[in-house]
Amino acid sequence: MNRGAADDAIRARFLRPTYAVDADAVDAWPASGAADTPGEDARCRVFLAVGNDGRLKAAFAAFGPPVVIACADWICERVTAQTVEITHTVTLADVEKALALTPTQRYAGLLAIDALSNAVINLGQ
Amino acid sequence: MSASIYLDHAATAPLAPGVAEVMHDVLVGAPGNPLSQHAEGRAACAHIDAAAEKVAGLIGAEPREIVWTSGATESSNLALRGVAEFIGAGARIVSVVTEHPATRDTLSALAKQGVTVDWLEVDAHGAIDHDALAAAVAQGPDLVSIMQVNNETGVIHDVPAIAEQCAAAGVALHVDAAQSLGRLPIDVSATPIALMSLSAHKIGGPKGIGALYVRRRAPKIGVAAQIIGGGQQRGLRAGTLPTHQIAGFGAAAAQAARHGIASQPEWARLRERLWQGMAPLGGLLRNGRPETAAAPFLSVSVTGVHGAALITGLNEGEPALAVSTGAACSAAKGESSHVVRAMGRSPREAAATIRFSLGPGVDEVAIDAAAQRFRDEVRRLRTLAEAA
Repeated sequence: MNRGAADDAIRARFLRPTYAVDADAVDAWPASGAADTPGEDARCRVFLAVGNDGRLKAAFAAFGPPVVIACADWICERVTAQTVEITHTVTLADVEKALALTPTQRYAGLLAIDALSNAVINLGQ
Repeated sequence: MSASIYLDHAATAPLAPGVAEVMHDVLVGAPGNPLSQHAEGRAACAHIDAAAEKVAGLIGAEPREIVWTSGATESSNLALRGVAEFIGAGARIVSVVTEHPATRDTLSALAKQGVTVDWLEVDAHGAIDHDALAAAVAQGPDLVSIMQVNNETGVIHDVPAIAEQCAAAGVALHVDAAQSLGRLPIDVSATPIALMSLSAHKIGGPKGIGALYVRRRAPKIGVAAQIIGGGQQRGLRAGTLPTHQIAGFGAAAAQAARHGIASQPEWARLRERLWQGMAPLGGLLRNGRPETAAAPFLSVSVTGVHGAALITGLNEGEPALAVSTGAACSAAKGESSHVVRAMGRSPREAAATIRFSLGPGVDEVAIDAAAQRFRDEVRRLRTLAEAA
């Protein structure tokens, strides 16, 4: 993906995220996990639930620049309808590759990964 | 303009009607070097003389007091560096912390070269303390440099009063009028201003052309040229003059003289309509008082949203709002607007600060649509952030 296309992809997810949590239904999610990056003034929370079929549902809330919201949206898309095991295999490299993150945007991918990991821990509990 | 709603006239105004045609006609019809003695040169020179009449007329100056530059940034560089070099060792300049980078960065560079720079603070409304100015002027500086209208907030500094204060102390005054030209009355024949930076593209002229007004009667100050090699413009700024650019500046100045000041009440009315349309959101902090801000400006700091997300959402969403933020938007890195931080905003608030600036072509329909779009985007981002 060239830079222009990558920027377009990030912008599109930022403007129209598919997995933004319904703020009025946050309590309905059984688990969530958060992470923040004070140096970038950004934070992210991933919400997880397991359906009757054993597949994950995911949503996010985020405060930060567009790339933070795009990464959070991407990671929710990646795990949705998958089993919990998928969450153990998603890496920063996957986010970087999918959204063609620049080195200065890498923190946003890490933020989403960390939020997901914390959500999985809470889901287990 | 490709943006759906253009509210960024302080960044650059669309070309005023007829300016492009004037520039084309001069570019094609007057190709001579304006310094040449032949007919083609004289024809080009006539266009420059006519433009100088119009630009000078807008500020009450004489045409010979206009020095053409590439824009207000170069004008301020010429004024500040030129005065510092002319004075030499021991030069001292007073300015304000909320100045445009053209002034701030230039003075910071000069400070590293040994020039003493005294910075005046502003209050929560962006205003300077005239007692502090008096104290600074009492130190005997060579120059006071201040903008008439702040480029981020629209806050107006009382230049006539400041000019009198400086003149009484025998101190020369440089005014950055990039944002006030055509918006506020400026009359250098009645106001003791030594130097004034002007820009064409803020008033509907082309980019790449500006001017420095250099007073030729008291109170005046010496300025050393910063671009040399040809002796043009009485040795103050060398280089062949861009005839068509200057003619475009002149055409825009003529229109500003007719409509600029007269249209300000309408911009003020529309600005208040925009503010009233946005205010129900809550969590909005207005920067500067409406009664002391230039009519086209509305600066708002938004709580609960990230600055980079807000500006991208407004600029890229539909309909797009062409608006600006003060500076790069990382609150934590301290890169947010130095202007609104100087007025007491937190780094995060400063990073989420949007400047709306109105101008020709903006009407109630555009204002109402902009207010709606702003409300929708802020609500969307606050909702996204709320549960994080």
